[in-house]
Amino acid sequence: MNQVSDSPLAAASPAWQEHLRTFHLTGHGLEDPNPQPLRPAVVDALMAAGNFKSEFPAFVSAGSALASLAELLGDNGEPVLDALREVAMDPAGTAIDAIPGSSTMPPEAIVRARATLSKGMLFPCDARSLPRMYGSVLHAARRTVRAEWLARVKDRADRLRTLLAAGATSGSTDPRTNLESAFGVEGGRLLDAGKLTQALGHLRGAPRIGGERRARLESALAALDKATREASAEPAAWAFYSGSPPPGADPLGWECRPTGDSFAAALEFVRHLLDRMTPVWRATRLAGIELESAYDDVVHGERLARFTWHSAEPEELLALPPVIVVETADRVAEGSLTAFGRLLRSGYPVQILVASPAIAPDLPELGYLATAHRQPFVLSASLALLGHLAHGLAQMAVSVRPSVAVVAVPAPGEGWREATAAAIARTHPIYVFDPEKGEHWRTRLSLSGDEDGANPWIGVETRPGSTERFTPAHAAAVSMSMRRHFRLIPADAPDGSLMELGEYLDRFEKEPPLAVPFLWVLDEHRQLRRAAITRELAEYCADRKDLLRGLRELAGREGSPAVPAVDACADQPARHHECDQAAIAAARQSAAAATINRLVQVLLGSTPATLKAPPSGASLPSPRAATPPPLAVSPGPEPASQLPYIESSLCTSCNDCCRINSRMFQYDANNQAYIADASAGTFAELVKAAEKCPARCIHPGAPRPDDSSATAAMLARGAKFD
Amino acid sequence: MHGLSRDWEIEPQPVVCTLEDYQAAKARWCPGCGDHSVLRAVQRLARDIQLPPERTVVVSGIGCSSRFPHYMATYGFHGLHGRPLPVACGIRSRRPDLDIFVITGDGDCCAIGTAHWIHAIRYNMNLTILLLDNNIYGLTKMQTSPTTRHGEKSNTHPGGSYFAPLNPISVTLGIANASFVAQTLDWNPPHLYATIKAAHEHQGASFVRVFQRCPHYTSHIFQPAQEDPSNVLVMTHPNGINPDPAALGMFPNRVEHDPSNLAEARALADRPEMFTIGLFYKSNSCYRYDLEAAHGLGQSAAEKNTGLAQALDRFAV
Repeated sequence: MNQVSDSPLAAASPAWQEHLRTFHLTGHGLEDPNPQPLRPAVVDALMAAGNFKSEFPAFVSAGSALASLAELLGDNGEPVLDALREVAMDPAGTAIDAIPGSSTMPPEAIVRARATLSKGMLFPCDARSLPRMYGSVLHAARRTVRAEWLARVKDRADRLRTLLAAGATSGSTDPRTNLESAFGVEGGRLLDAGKLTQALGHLRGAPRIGGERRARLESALAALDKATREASAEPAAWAFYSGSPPPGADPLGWECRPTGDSFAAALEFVRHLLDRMTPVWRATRLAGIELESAYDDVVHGERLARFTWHSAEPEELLALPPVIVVETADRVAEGSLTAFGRLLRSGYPVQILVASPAIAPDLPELGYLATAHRQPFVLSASLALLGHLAHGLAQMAVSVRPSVAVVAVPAPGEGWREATAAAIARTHPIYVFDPEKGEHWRTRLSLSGDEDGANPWIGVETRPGSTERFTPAHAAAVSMSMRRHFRLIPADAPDGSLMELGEYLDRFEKEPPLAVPFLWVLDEHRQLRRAAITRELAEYCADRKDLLRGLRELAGREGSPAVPAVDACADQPARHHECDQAAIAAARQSAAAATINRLVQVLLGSTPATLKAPPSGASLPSPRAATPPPLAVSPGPEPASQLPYIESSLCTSCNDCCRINSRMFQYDANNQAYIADASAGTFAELVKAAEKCPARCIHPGAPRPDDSSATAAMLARGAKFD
Repeated sequence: MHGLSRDWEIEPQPVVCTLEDYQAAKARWCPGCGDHSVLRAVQRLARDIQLPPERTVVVSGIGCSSRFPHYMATYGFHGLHGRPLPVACGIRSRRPDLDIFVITGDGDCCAIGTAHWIHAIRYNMNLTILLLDNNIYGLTKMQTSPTTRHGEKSNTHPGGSYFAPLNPISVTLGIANASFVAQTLDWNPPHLYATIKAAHEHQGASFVRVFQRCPHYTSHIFQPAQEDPSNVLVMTHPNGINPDPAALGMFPNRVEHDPSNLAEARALADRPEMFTIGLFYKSNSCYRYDLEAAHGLGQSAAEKNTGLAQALDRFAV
């Protein structure tokens, strides 16, 4: 690491300065014979503060969703997680052995960790985990949809078969063959079909299905049966790839197909698949109509004829095994961009899984390209941000649009540290673009982790009073694959031509500043040293900043003058609301006082001199309360308890009361009795009905004054039921 | 998205059934008969859970209550005396998609049909069995039935019945593999409805005995319980029958009984002085014969012939 100080050139000499400048511009010169990984001061500071953590490893147990093991294990799991972050993909739970038995963890936490691990599968932060993780998510999201769809197809096929069997007066014109198919050869020989039909005659009532309808039903039945048969042979998914096969796909039941151009092959395949399924979906609908005997050739014939896969329900599309393209970003960028775009424009439900290096200055922004097609579902995620990734993959698994997931993965040989550093430095945008979410880009595009638009990178205090921003260059310094972009600067080099990267990027507008940017790293003695970086990497940082700002604008976070205006409008009703509250309360109080005054007048027939409106309501006196109109106070209605009534919920519908007087007693919608018209009968009838009622739910009440049947004896009999 | 067009829909609309859709002929039972109450409860249940009428069967034997299928606008089978349960088991074996109600009476089930009763309970096929028990042969004008009380006068025993009555609940609780045994009364429709609903929800043979008044011949037997609700003992439990609490407000006597406790259920059933209502026993772990009997339903005649030939080929002739 101290190679530079051994250089024959003194660091202060103009020749050395020239070499440094050459390195910055071209990436060559001041070669380091024994390059070691760098340790940026910001990473060290974050680790010391406990803020440099990964959500990995991921964990999937049988039947549950993808989750972070850190969440499952809770607060005490950190030592276990440290041990497990380094293990390989582990289906059998052998990672349990990697848990340190004598760590500082409480024993019960170790027991809980072991119990959790034994129930599922662990995924390390590694590109190879991605297909397997998505397979688990797909399985969880779609298995019930598929099972339900298959059950529905089978049910309709069974019912069609029954319908056809019931409607067949004879399956064949030869009665002998019929008998043989039903009773065997001996049966055919011994039984006489004519006489049997005469004796039973049971088929006379069944409507015969023949001619066109039979042909229609049989072809629908054949399509449904074929679909059921073929479904059992179908894989869990069809995966297309052009490089090496997707690792770990075999246990998922995927059928992996190597091709030269995976996008073109998938497009061709899905087209055939949907053409093959269209008759099945059509037959499902035809069966539904026919089983209800609702088929009308004028209405349905033409519609069914122009039925294509576009008319299929989302559930039907989701019930199909998905077609997945598994690719890496460099292979897509090399030769498949045209086919990639064609597939996205096609509208076919194809899922595309692209693993992209977390730091890739020379690759196009594939997620951004896919978003430009506007109709596909796009997930731009990072393996290091497991929560966002799991949520996004789950959304993608139930999308029937062309769907793309561009996931940032660590370079080969690297792991969670490099991926986490890249995620903190936001080298890869993290968002979900879902066209289902609305018409506007700001509702479709949900951008994560972007609080400060002007400064996309977090600031970390590396020295007292000095803050350094965690830029993509800092993330690149952690990664050995990007080591060629860095050179250590001797401690005695003059500051003249050097500039700290944060400042350099702030000044980087149209033209880069005339200086060599550097960042602070720690050497083996934990001394701060400067590391110069190449122009390529500095421009990459500026480009990331530009990309994030563009995405912020698309997501409606900044840049549009409409946003502050909308926010201001949103505030206004709330302010109005507050202002109006007092006025509304005062009006309500005065109105209540006026109403009470009026009620008292009606009930007592007097002017309430003592009742006044409360002081706060005095602003709105009621004119009517001041001068009460002369109201005739009528005697109040008869008290409710004196009216006859029935507890209808207890009525047993026995018809006893209806037989006594069918105009007075009638049944309601539940077929339970109520008194429809109390004036349609006499008090005596009410009492007799109450006496007969087995549920004792009729209450005769008090007789009407003009009811001559209300004798003293009858009143005494009726009193028992009130 | 471009692709999916949802501008037309050709699936038939779902049908909603009202109470009238379950009502067939006008019920010809005497006014005041408890059968009306059971009929309305079953019809209301059918409407509330929207049972498809074309997928519902009511099977009955012979007796007053067995006229039930005529009054339900569903499929029905008014069959042989004492044989509703074998018929229902047969239907269940071949048509697992149907909802089957069995209506039987104290004569039909506990006299001529006793053997079928015992084995149908033991088979535990998914049936809702309602025993409408009025303590008398009503249709044939008042003869002693197996549940007629000791000393009760009838046309066959003018001096009073010689025997102690058979207790259908105790008998059913004594049959192996019984899975649902409940008792209710016809003059409290909310409890009756809740009991039939629970019985219908139970997967297995659910046996419900309904105390059913005969206004002509046995009204005096049920009158004490009707007039004084303290003669009724209500079994309550969260896993039991839980109608609207207001409907049970009139019954002062309650007992907490866990339906999984068979010994306590038997003890509660043997209390002839009380009209005990509620769920005596329920188990979801009993073996169901109908799951076994429904195999091979989707096979065509040719497949059945092939299967039969294969089975027979195992024997040397």
